[in-house]
Amino acid sequence: MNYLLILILLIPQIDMNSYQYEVLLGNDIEEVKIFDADFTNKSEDNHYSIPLIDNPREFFNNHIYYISFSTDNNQKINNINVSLTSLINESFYNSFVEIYGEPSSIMVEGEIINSKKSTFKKGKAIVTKEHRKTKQGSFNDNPRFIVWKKDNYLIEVLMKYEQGKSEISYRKTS
Amino acid sequence: MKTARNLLCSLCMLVLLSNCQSDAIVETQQEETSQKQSSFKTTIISKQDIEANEKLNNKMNGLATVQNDQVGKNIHNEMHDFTIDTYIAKLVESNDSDKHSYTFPISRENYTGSTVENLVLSYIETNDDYKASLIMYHFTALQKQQYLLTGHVNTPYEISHEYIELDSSSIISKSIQPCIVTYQEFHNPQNSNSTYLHSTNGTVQNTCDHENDLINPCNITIEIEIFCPGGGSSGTGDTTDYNTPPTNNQDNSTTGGGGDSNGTDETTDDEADNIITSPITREESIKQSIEDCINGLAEFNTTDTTTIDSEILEQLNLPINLWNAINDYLSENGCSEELQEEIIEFLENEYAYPYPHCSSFEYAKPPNINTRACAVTNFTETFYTYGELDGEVGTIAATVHYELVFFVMPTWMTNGHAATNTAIAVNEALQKAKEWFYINYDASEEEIITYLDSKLIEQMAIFGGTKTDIPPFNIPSPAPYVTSLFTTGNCN
Repeated sequence: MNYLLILILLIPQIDMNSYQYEVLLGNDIEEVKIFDADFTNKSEDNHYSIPLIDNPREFFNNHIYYISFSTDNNQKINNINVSLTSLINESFYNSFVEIYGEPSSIMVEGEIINSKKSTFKKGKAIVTKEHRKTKQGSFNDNPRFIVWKKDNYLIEVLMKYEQGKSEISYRKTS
Repeated sequence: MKTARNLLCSLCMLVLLSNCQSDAIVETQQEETSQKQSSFKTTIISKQDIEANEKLNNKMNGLATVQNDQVGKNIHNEMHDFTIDTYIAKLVESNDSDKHSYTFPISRENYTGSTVENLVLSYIETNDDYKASLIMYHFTALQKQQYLLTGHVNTPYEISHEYIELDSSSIISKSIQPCIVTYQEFHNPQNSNSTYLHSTNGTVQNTCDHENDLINPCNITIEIEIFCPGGGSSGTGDTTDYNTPPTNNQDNSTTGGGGDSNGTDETTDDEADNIITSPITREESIKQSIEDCINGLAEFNTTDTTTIDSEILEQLNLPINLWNAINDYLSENGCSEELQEEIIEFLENEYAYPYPHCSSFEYAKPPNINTRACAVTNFTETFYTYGELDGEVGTIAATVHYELVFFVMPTWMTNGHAATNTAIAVNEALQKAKEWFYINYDASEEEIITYLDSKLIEQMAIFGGTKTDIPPFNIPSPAPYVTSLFTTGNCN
């Protein structure tokens, strides 16, 4: 399994700073050749990950610290999650617009529709679930989700303002 | 597997050939100079082989300023503040003469850099004796990683050299070397009789050489030349002279004669000394020790049911202190089958999750309590999605907050490594819960906490640990959960 890894070291480096991860959707997970990944061992729950915590990689001048892949039962990638070390800025957003066009939806959160809070004795845990209305806005309106819907896939950018981080999901839709 | 290897080998050879053909004229010239019949043979030898060589053994003992009673333990030299790992050594032999050397890995306490240090004992034919050198390979972290993975480095790096006094009765001191050190690196693919000149003085000379052959790892031989301009050889034929390190004093700024010395009192100006060696790391030595323990012969009348794939040990890239901890754990407990199983399980899991993380989980193992655990307060995570719920489209967020949660890891792990592995486990559990909630946003609060709990326990179990709500022991100061956990440095 490690020959692939070594091969990756030898092939010319792809410009990962502007890599379009959606190209991996639908491919066999074993063929993933980024960041020294080696997914030749089958995962029991179709979940594969590349932690990059020690060495975050540049991505549109932000940094990726974790990537995970989900596959169908035939090992074909149907979802890619990219976790960034900080919130995406306008420059990052504009780069995405240049590549993918204007987003299909920019969801800005509004009033709470429903909120539930449950306390559990076990572990002294509290779970709060909140459902909020959304309206369409712009990048400068502090949206929660920005979504690009394409023919065969969609891209969702989640803005986690509370943690100062963004996550990007690439999902296969057909 | 073999078929795959062969296919990959063929592919690599094609790549090699195409690279070579891209500059045919240059390549032909290089071939003439870079490829020749192998002049060296490199062998890994065991401690028993080392001990069988009386002359070598005496020299090694001369370096020991702290004697260790335990057989198989390493040699510590206080003057140089290093420890020579004597579990294995590399024997490099010339095919043309009796010239040979023994190379040992060296370690220094608390050193975490990527420079590889070796002690080289070079045979002096004229004296039938050995002289010692300290060779330092100034690898970057990436180069060291490449060396550990592939057995060689294909980018420039520097080598430095110092003579070491071997005579235990005299003061051991580092040489202040005014001489010029030059070196050439040769690659000798396993199962091949050819040697390729790879680099000179750290500069890669040939782009068309063995380095792309992924199937047959190559042996590296370094030929180091120490040249002292205007200096004379003090090659008296006396062993002590060979071992006396050169100083800034021009009269003594000698190479020590080396193999060129004629064993007389003659002084030879501008004489160069020559050392052949091959790099070896502590990781290689420790891994060999672990493999010998796990895959070695079972004791008489017992059955060895525990074995580990050698490739896991070869390819697994763990911090040196963790390899040490594993090795000590096994050897100090008599290498029992039960512990072997525990270690095999851990290493196989590490192999599947090869990227160490950082965390801020503050583990502790109190004296007399056989548990390593940590407590975390305000462990909070929010999962987001969007969709239609109760007829209303919008965003849905679920925040899980543990006021106090405990994580337990195996006692043999260091606190730092337990913290790192907990961060990996927690991160994986959160990622899985995030994906699950994306689809199951209509789940109840109880279903959400139950799912996350199960994933935390499942992921901790991969490392032999668990997550619990019951304090394993009294932890007076639980650490707060830090939301920037996954962007901080390494905890190992």
